[in-house]
Amino acid sequence: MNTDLHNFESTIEAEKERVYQLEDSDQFAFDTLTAIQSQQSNLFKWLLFSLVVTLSVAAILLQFIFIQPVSISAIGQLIQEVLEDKPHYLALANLSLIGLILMMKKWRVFG
Amino acid sequence: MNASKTAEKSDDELVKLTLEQGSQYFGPLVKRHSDYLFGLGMRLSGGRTELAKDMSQQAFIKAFNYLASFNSNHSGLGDIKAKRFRNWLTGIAVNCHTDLAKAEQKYVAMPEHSSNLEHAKSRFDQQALSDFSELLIPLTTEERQLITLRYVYEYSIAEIAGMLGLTEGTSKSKISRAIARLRLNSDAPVAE
Repeated sequence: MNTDLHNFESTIEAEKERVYQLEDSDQFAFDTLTAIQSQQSNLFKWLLFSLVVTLSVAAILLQFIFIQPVSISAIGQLIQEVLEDKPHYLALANLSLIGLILMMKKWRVFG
Repeated sequence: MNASKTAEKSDDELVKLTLEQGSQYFGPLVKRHSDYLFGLGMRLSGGRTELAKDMSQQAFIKAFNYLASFNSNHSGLGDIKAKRFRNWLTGIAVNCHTDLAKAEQKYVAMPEHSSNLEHAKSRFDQQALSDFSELLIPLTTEERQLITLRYVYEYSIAEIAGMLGLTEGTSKSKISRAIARLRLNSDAPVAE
């Protein structure tokens, strides 16, 4: 091994001559592009996941605001009222909750 | 997509096509520059293949994510059009190397009562070191990067400054300091 610095120039010259090549550049390119594409699809997944989480939290809050005091009969009555007045809100909220649970299951959020 | 026609296109054209039509046009850019980035990684990392590969891959992924900024930011990357993308990619790769080196330092404990030089040597002992890698052991990560870019790849001070986001004066003085540090570790003179 060369540690003498008076050989600095010759060491640099020798290094310039040295050629480095990836063993399998096609595989490397493929892996890199796959990583780029999966990163893009992960971003989409997380955007979708965030949207569903936001909707679900909003839905839960909405249901708590509407359903007070919390008793079985009151819940039943209020669900009926909400279903009559704003059925699409409740439907959206519950669909979001179901979606959230399915996504968490599919992406193994809890292992 | 016709592969042979695509391979003939310039870097700038492929960047434009990637931005307009998607990642399928980024593949030829990866193939074209992967050996170059891998070589840079090997030189900066002291011949560690996995680190060099990681650096190259991270650099390509970052380059893809920030491709739009390449188109609008050509300043400081050199005058030769054909080299601009490579110079830009080199800057990204060097930043990736800095991040990887920092992450590595976090997890590799410094042995007690040892100098930086001994510590650095111990990290490389298992590798078949080239003379060049051994020459750069006394230097910091940034100094290794600057010496490699300046002397092995023969980039101008202006190009290095553009790649690393430094001023020309700072780049020059940092390179001089690295040379001075190499001198300190040897009685023999080092060319500037």
